[in-house]
Amino acid sequence: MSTVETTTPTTQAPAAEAVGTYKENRSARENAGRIFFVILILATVFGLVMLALLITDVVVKGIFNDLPGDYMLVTGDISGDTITANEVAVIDPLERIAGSRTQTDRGIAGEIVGTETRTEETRGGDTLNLEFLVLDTEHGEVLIQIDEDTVILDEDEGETPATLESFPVDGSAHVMVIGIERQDFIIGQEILVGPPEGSIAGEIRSFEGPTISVQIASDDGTEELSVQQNITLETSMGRRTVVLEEGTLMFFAADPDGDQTQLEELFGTRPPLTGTVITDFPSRRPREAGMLSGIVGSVIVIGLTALFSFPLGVGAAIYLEEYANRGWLTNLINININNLAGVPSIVYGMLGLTVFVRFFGAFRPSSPLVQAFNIPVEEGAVGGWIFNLFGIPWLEIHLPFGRSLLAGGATMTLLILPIVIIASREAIRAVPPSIREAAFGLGATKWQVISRTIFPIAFPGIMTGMILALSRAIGETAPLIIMGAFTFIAFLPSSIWDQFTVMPIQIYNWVQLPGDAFRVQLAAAGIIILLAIMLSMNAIAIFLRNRFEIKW
Amino acid sequence: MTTNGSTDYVFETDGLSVYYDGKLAVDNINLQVKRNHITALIGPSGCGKSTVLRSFNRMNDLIPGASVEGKIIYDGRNIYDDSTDPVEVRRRIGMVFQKPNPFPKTIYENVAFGPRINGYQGNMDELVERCLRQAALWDEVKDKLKENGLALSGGQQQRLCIARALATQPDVLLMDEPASALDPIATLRIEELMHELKEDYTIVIVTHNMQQAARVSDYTTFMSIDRSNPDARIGHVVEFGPTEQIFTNPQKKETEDYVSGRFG
Ligand SMILES: Nc1ncnc2c1ncn2[C@@H]1O[C@H](COP(=O)(O)OP(=O)(O)O)[C@@H](O)[C@H]1O
Ligand SMILES: [Mg+2]
Repeated sequence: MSTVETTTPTTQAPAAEAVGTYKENRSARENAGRIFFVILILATVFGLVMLALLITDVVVKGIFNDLPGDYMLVTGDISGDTITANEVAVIDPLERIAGSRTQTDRGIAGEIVGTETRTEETRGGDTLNLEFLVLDTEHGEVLIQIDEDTVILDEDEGETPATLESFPVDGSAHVMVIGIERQDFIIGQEILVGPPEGSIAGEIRSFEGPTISVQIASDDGTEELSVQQNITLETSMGRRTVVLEEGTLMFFAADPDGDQTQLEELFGTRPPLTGTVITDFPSRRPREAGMLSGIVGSVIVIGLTALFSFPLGVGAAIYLEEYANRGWLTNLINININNLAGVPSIVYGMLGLTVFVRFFGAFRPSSPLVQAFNIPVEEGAVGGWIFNLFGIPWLEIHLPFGRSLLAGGATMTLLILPIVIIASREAIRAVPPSIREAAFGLGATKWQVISRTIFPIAFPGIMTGMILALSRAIGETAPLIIMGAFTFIAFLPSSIWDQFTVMPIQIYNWVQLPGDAFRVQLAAAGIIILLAIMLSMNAIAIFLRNRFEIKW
Repeated sequence: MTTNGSTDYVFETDGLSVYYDGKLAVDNINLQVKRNHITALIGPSGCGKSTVLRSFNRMNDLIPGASVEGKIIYDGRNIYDDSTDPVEVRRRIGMVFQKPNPFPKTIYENVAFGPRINGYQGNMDELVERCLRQAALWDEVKDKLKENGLALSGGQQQRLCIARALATQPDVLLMDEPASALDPIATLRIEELMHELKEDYTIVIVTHNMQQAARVSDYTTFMSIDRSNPDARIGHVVEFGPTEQIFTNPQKKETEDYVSGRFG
């Protein structure tokens, strides 16, 4: 005993010293950590700024300024007021001629008898003003929607030019060249090549391939000309080869600017490029197309997925780690969770379709359930049994869920649940047993130990796993396509029972459309936005891990 | 060893045996722990010291497959009675572990954890300060109560764990080799602290360090593995008595061999 008392005062000083040096080492390490953290933040900020610049350029569609097919191209001469009596041919690369239903109906000729503005309501409740040209054709009066893609060919008033008469109004398409002289068909000539595959403008660079015969229409009549089938053009998007085939039209722009002014006076100015990929709805016109409904759909589906999968996944993880007895049932569940994490996502789409979208068909009008209980089911897209608790609109419940946001979120929840459970169990298991003992030793109940120590300590790990799982879900396309998500949604959802689309489906849809505007520019813009969202989600996960992870 | 009125004793064990997965680990332990004294458990490693200590606050309940036979009378009641709530037992019998295990929370929240979960109504700041003072840590941490407990040195962490255990206002402190992970200076501080805490608490300490037992304890229990059946490695109590007697005048040959360092 006495030794203790006497040695204590002398050891006091070294004790303080020892503690001091220990602390210094620690703070040196902390400083290094801090510097690394600052560098990480700076790098992240730099990356985000670069990404933001890239995105702004993409989303304001700066890249669309050079888009072919956006020109309103006029050959020949339109002389001011007299246009209503003119014979014109209208060619529309996107088949927006009212009443035309077939693939080959790409152009029509006739006399302009008037213009018309129609107001239509979109499903989102917006109104849309559509400009039409009323044309007296051999098929009767036809309404033609006018927009920037429309190409109008016009000849001198009074006459009915041969060029227009020989125009393939009935779909018996020829390769046709209008309004040029023979010598125009040479290297260096500016040319716009029209449908069927969209249209593209550029300067002729070379001719290749087999020689075919094309019809040249001019004031002097029609003549045949031999030309090689593959024409390489120098366009604003680099070199493109155009294959001349049945139905291809070629226009040689003489003086488009002068004529365009007159057209603007007549049909209103071109819509300025105000929309962005982020703020526009899908459209058949690339300039107006965007993925607003896809972004909103993705955000809501992911939000619902997070809402469902967090309590389910974390609850399951806590149960399995803390409460479940080791036994054959627990083992079976463990094996299944691990297997489910590897099941192809398309399988979950089938599951979602059967379970959530259709409820095994239990609410079909012909189902025994409906017949037995006389349930008032509605038919149609938003069919099934709809009932309203207490008459409050947002408490409306649809059975089955149908192809709704809710069904999408539920399907995605199934998809990521195994991953969330595995990540959460991992995080819970990483809490040292000594912490558990410490809490129990202080008289904590089991639930207090879990809720006050284990869960808060595991939380950053759980969140990291959760976000990584969600960022996987946000890129998933297959299950939602199987489940029946739509590709063309031009309105914002008003409730979780609405139909929806998501970003990857929108991108997939664009890639399938003809025309570089969709295939290249819009799809690329969509992919960049999708990547940006995914990368920022991953960045948040990394931030959480670095910021809140406990170093024992 | 005299048996005074039973109120002098905080714990009295009666035929305590502990099994792990049906295998006997310690057999038929009978000992008393005197109020406001320090009782040390010494013995070779693996003889069941921790096992006995952990059965005093039912920490063995947390080990799957562990089972306890016999009685431990605490406060006139058997803590292994069906009617006894193990949570209540652990609240009144605090524990300090071999390796410092502060929560990854602030120093303040570490100490306040126990009172909070037990619904403490009084002034938390005062309680935290009092416990940190009792654990002789206040002066070192009073300016950084909001810092993480893990940022302290090992010795400070262990004193924080003692303060944390004191905050639930227990009767008894169980300490399982509380200084074995610490350097000699930190060890001395913990030993001094135990002397101070003896005034208000009853302490049971497990140690494999005989000098430590000799320095700090009033009573010593020497445990060993039953030599008649060495393969089974069953722990039992060889000798129990005042520390002075165990170290200077042991009654058993085995004890003498051990305390004089001649143990196999
Ligand atoms: N959790 C456990 N599971 C199974 N056996 C254990 C467990 N803890 C301790 N034991 C066994 O009980 C015996 C006593 O261990 P312990 O009480 O830790 O001894 P000591 O603290 O004296 O070193 C040892 O043989 C050990 O293997
Ligand atoms: Mg031990």
